[in-house]
Amino acid sequence: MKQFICECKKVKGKLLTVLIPVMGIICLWLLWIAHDPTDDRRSCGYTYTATSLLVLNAIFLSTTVAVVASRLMDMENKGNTYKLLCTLQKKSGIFSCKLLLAVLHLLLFFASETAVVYAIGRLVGYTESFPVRSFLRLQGVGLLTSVLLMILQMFFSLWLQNQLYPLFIGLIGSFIGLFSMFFPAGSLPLYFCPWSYFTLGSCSIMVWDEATKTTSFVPVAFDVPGFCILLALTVISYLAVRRYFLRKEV
Amino acid sequence: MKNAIETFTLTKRYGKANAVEDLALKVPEGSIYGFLGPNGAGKSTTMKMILGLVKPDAGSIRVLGSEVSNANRLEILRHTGSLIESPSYYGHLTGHENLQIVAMLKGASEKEISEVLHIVRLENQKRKKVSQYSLGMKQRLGLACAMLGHPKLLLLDEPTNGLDPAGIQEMRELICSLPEEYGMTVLVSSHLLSEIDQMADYAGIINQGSMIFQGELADLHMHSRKQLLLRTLDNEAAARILQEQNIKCTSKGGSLVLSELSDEKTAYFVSVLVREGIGILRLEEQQKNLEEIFLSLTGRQVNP
Repeated sequence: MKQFICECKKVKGKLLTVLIPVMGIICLWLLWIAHDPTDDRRSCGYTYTATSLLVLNAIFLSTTVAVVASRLMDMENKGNTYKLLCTLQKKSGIFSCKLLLAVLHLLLFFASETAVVYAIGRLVGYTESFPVRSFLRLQGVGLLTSVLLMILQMFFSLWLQNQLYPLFIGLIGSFIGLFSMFFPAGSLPLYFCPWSYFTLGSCSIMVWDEATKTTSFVPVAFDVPGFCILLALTVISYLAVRRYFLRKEV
Repeated sequence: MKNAIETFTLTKRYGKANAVEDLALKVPEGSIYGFLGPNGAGKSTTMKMILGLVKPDAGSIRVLGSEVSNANRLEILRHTGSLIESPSYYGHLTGHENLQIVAMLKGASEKEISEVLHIVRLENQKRKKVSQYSLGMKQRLGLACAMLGHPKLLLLDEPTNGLDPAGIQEMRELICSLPEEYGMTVLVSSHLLSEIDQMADYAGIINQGSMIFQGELADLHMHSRKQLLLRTLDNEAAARILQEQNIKCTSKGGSLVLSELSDEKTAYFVSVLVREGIGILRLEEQQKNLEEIFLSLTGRQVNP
């Protein structure tokens, strides 16, 4: 606990200064999507917002996670603090506290995002009842994917001296994540790219009917094998990066 | 006398090269131990091994009477403070916030933070971000971090690196006061003999990973004593006259080498030589530098 409090003191809002502006942009984007809805849109407002949120998360979170991981790891590199910390606490504790702090920030981010969607729905008067299960799936998968990306980005930030490279990786990752949404659900290439796992959170796909000029939503079954792969990848990445951290000499 | 640090056949290899080889370091309790060696000699690696930052390939380490193992490393290190290579700090935090973090990890109180800030004379800068500190201030902050929790043992790796002459003097005075005022044992490394000369009671010299000298500083002075180099128009005659005056000298590279003499005795033999008609070309004082001491300690010939 003491070590975790120290980690919080070290960070001193450095992560929030990244996450709050991103949240602000997403909020504005969601407001723009939701403003002045038709009755038709009100009836499926949350489902429509969920599909937009999936895209927004894929675009913004890959880069945001890269920045957060870089800030967490690089403050130790910049100040040569590992050689001090390793005489005061267990090396494994340093890594775990950093990851825990990052995960809590992400959890807060996803919770806030969900709250914002709900609040906007109430504000503009969506008639659709809030789809709790859909949002749990969307945000749960989003959180787990972000945790996986966080672990990988922490590795890149540890491994690469120049912190621009991990940021580039995050940026390229966000393009890959976005591009992966054009693949049909369950396509094999999706499983090989960590940034594409956001797609697993999709609960429905939008279908535009040219004849009736209406949009309908087709439910998508939850990709259980895909989710298991994501879960396994997260655990394996955690163990591998932790091992790398422990073996790295300071 | 008890030793605060003892190492036994301590060895560390990087690839095929031995960074540290069979090192037997003995740091007496309550002393300032100067750990000397040129850059890359293995000083930092040794200190890192003592702190458990680098895993030794062979040998063992005893710190404050206990053999260091993975299980008890942190418990032992609770009684030590360290400043390795360059100071550790968080630039975006103030000096006080940096100390608060270290104090929390060490279990030290807020009162102790004020104490160490006072010792290193950073009270007036404690609310300033460390990124705005000068290198000297960062070094002092590093020392303050090391001193938190009243450690019995301090390991300082080249603490005067990058400091200006005033800063070096200040740091030196501070280190010198630690054993007497706070009962600490200090292991301080440097590549400058003169620096260790002004601080340490004991010294160890490491070269290419091996200890080539260890003992009291007075013993080291025996190796580094001054010499007089005399060059005359007739060295043979000069040598004969000096021997008649019971002044020992040896011939080396066209000069006569005399051990250090008092000013009166030097003036006397010069007047004798002049009286005997020996033309004196040059008389200079020479002190062995660290490299020459290394060479003489390792038994190799020093070429003029």
